[in-house]
Amino acid sequence: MKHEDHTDGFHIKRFSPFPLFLERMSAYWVAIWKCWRTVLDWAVWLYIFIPGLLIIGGMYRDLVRNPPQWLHEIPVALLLTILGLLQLTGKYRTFAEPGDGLFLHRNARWLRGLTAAGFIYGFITRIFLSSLIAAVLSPLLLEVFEFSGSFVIILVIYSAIYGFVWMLLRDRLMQKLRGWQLTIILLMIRPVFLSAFVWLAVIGDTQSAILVLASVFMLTIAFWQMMLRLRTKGTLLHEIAVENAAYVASVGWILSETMDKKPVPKLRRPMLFRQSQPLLKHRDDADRLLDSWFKSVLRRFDLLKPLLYLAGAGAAAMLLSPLPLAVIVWLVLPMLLLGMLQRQWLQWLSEPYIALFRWPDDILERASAKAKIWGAYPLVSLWGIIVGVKTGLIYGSVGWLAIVVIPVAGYYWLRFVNEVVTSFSALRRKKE
Amino acid sequence: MNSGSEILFRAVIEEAGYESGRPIVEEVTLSVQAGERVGLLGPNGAGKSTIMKGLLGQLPHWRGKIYWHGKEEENGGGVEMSSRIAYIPEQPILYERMTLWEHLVLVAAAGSIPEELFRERAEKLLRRFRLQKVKHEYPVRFSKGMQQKVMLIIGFLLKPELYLVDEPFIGLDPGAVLELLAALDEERSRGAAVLLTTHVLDSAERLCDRFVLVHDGGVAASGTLAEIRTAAGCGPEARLFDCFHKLTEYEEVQS
Repeated sequence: MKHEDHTDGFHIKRFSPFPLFLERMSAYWVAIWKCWRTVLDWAVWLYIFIPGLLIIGGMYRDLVRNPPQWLHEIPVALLLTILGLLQLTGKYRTFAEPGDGLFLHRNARWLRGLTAAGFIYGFITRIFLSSLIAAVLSPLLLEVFEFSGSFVIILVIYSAIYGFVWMLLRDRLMQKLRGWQLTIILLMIRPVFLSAFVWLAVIGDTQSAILVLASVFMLTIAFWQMMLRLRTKGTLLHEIAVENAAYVASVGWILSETMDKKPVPKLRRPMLFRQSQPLLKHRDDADRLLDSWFKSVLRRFDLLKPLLYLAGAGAAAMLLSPLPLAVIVWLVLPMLLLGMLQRQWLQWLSEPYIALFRWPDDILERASAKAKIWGAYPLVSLWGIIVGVKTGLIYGSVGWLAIVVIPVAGYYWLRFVNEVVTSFSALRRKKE
Repeated sequence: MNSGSEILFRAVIEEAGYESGRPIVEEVTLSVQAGERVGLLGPNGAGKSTIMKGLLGQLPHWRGKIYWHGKEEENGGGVEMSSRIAYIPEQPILYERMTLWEHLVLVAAAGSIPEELFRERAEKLLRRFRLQKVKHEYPVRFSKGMQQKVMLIIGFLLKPELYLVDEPFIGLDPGAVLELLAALDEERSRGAAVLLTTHVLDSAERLCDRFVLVHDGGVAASGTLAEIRTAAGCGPEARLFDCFHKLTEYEEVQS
């Protein structure tokens, strides 16, 4: 059969899996960069990143030039563990899209091509990551730990292959297992994988041949895994889930307030309050609304995470500061905390389902005040107990009463600050 | 039917749309009497959903007036779910981290339903729509049909004066459609009114007392089936489908 020439400039051979993969990959990274650019403006670069890089770079240079004694005492295994941990972070990516189910995934050539492109991408990212870490650590590795240059190169290749095998193995497990099963299996395999990585790398320091042999062995496993992956069918939904998770992990926190479609929970039932039991007694409608809010925060890690970070940072600040400064920090932090809770509360109220209903002003007012005060009180109490312990340690006997007095005073301080903040907000809204 | 009842809800839409100066709907007046069912019908893109969104205050551009029991609403554009009105959307609106039961608790809070009454109503509706076994699961993980049932339960739980129902039959299995119709009958006997949009003209013909045919962003015809037949120039046996076809065909010829 004679093929007619294409006269419209459309050459079918130009369209193949690899160019498509490259196009999708670049589009993905451009999209990620554009998201990050919205928060990384010139002020952040000028005042945070560049000074930070200069300071940390200077400290690192001093560390390498004049290594303190403790640096020589750090076990090599610890350094290699960090390298190994980073190799356990990768996920096998194909940049699949939901529309692929209509055409591409029905065509074996395209499917194989995109899968193979994913292997190449995965291996290149592993090599890139290993090289980057080795390059950053090389002054330490070569000068302080006195590794040979050839060992560092072999270590980079070994790490990349190891990370690549882990990536494929993890992908296979994620296809086969779900929920708790997956979590437990991954929790069990990770330490084994990491220990083997570190053990072989430590031996490889003196016997490079071991590291080369281990690399060849892992490469064989990688080929076996790749063959299995190429033969596996029905992976599209899994690939899309991986892509969605990667996107959310990269920019989820930046876009959390603007994302129309939130990730669907992985479990059918919640882990907390499995029987939908109330957290608070439903005395009135404000309590019902408040109960829904508290349960949402406890079930949504993206809402809980910033509060936990603030709790940790606040606790560290109070532990490390002298007592008078710790008291000042304890008085100031609730303002920041209330502001954070206020933003979360307003964002929650604007969720489409919550905004579907008409909420009377008095209910909103009562629920809002309780949401902030009850939400902030556990953290303020924790910080108060830290300040109380410090007071007790310094002043002894009566000073230990501060452990009780400061958290109680914290409640009244919170109410006062909340009233001030609320009044200011109301005034600002009025002006607007 | 209900010719003597007072007008419960009246919306006078001067214009509504998504962009300023480009209205999708113009000069549409809708009224619903207590206990009445009004079908808002029209082809794809006629403006039915725009009207619904306008009534709910979800449109960026809306000019018009809304009257409840003959009294003009103060905020003008848009009504929200409350003990007075329930909206059952075509696309289910759910919260990711709330179980089905917790969705209903929030409805009870919005409608100020006492705890005992809420439990009684909620359990009854869950049984009716066969969702009692999954009441402690996340509805965002349900199938489309089950999610649609959740939205129906949310609407019926409020026992409002007026139901705004957008394409109620899409995604529901025959059993659920029957339960929906039975529940709407019970609500009618209580005096609740329904304004519904649908493409399923046969069901609309059986279900509704009056019809508003929307075409190209305006009202092509309105009234009872007999009045629609007259407007369309169809005989006394003509189905709503035939009248609808004739009216929209006529409009197309005119345009």
